[in-house]
Amino acid sequence: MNINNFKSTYGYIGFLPFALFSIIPWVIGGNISQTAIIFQLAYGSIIITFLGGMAWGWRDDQTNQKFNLSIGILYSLIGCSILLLTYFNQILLALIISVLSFQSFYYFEKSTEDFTARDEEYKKFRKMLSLLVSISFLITSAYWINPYSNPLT
Amino acid sequence: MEIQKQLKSHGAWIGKWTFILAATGSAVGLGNIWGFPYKAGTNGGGAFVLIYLACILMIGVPIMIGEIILGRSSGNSPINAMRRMALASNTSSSWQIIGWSGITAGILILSFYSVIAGICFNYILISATSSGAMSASDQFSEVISSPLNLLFWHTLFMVMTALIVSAGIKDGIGRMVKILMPMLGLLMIFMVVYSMINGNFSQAMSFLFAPDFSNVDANTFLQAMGQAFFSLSLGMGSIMAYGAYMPKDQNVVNTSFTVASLDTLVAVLAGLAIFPIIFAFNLEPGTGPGLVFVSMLTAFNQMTFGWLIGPLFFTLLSIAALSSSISLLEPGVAFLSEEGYLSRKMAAELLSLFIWILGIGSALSFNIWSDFNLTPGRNFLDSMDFIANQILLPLGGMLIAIFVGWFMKEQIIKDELGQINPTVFKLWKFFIRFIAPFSVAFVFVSQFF
Repeated sequence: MNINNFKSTYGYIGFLPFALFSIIPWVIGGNISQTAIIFQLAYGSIIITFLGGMAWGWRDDQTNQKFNLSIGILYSLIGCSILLLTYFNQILLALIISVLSFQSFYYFEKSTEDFTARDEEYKKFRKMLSLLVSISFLITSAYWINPYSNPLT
Repeated sequence: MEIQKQLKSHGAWIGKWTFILAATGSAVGLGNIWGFPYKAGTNGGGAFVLIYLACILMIGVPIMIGEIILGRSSGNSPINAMRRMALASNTSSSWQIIGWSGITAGILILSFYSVIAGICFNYILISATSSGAMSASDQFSEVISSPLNLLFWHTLFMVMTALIVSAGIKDGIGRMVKILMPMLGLLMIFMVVYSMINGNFSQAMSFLFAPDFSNVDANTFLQAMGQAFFSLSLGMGSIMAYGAYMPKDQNVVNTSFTVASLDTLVAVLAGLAIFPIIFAFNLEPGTGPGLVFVSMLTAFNQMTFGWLIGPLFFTLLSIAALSSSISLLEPGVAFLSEEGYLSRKMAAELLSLFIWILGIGSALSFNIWSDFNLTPGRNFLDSMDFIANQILLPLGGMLIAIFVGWFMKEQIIKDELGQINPTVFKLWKFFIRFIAPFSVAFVFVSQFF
């Protein structure tokens, strides 16, 4: 298995908790749904913080690397804020910020010199993974908005 | 040689996705949008879905592979395809009866399908302008009680079908499926998202997927087998005709699985779009036209953006109907034009005119001919449905499985399948020889009891 296949396999394994936590509320419902949503947000905040940290591993001699590092830190702080919003029960806001963060981080990463030098397989994988994670948050958002399923109504 | 020349005049699909979209468009029709979700919900939910998937694997996909092989290998319309393949396999040319039966079934189905699809067209306007002052059931009664109204929409639908088919494979059907199918997909996703946010989605999920094995009996298997066979447009020559235009380098097995998967996906999504709304408004999840024309309209009349969601929903149904209707007309048109009797345009126009005239009987079955029985106990529309869906399609499907499984030269099959895993080939051979014909025969016989 080459390194790109290795990365994409691990990437999709990392996606499984997102998928699981977004499906559990719809399939099982009840009290466990809120727990699953909180777990999804917590896991998402860890991942987006980790993604922000990726900027530290990019080449220092590429254009705008200082800017990239600043943006990377911003995403780590966003991860922290998602966790805080979840703690203060601002679930819908946390979900929306999660969707926006994962999508915008993909576009940010795509704009870097390091990303353009990557092979096509990796680029496709990153695009697909960001999309899938965003969809999982959208599915959970729908559960939260839906008056028939929201655990607080 | 002459026939092949004529075939070239039909054209061929451009790219591998055109066949997949066209075949999926043919398979996705009104029946599996309002039929599959209800059957799943009332026959054990997830348990039914599992049995249905097994039936798709053992009955639907093997017959579909058989039909594509017959079409692509001969490169002809179903009648000539069967004749050529029978002769090439050193057996009687009488097997062409499968082609005749398929084309006849397609004509009969289109004659009443067009009337029902016309009602869908009409409902785009009705749902956009309905104030809710009239109940949905009264509205439906008013629509079907007017012969002129039904004939107008039936005519419009047939004209659209004829125009698309007469334009040919590349510029007509090929171009339209590339527009219609993505549109269908987008509308379906929109409807599901809407239902997910506003409808009783959890109850719909539970209705459709919660497995209840206590509800599973012999009838469940029968329903699943019937759904697997009928929902893939098998036995009517459409897939065979479309297969004739399929590029030689396209993998038949993978393509068949893709079409069957997309067909199932659309049926499941339809359930996820319809039932959350039905449950949210405490309506009865009844089956058939009543579900969409009465229950859904009731819901649209009551919901906040019903004037917008309603027309979108009926547009979705109309697109599904149109993509199926062109596949019902194509085999007959292809035969008439490749035989050299008529040009493709003329063949499409004349055959559509004939179907339109036949459809008048179905339109009148809702009102002034409602008491007229063409076959014992059945009005005109029900008789067309009975002859086509209950007799010709199962017979056609069964004969296709028997011909491909027992009589077709193995070399022709292998040439068409190309590089295939020997285990997959053996499994397919087993299904098409034993499982598919007996299952379809079982469905066929059970309909009479």
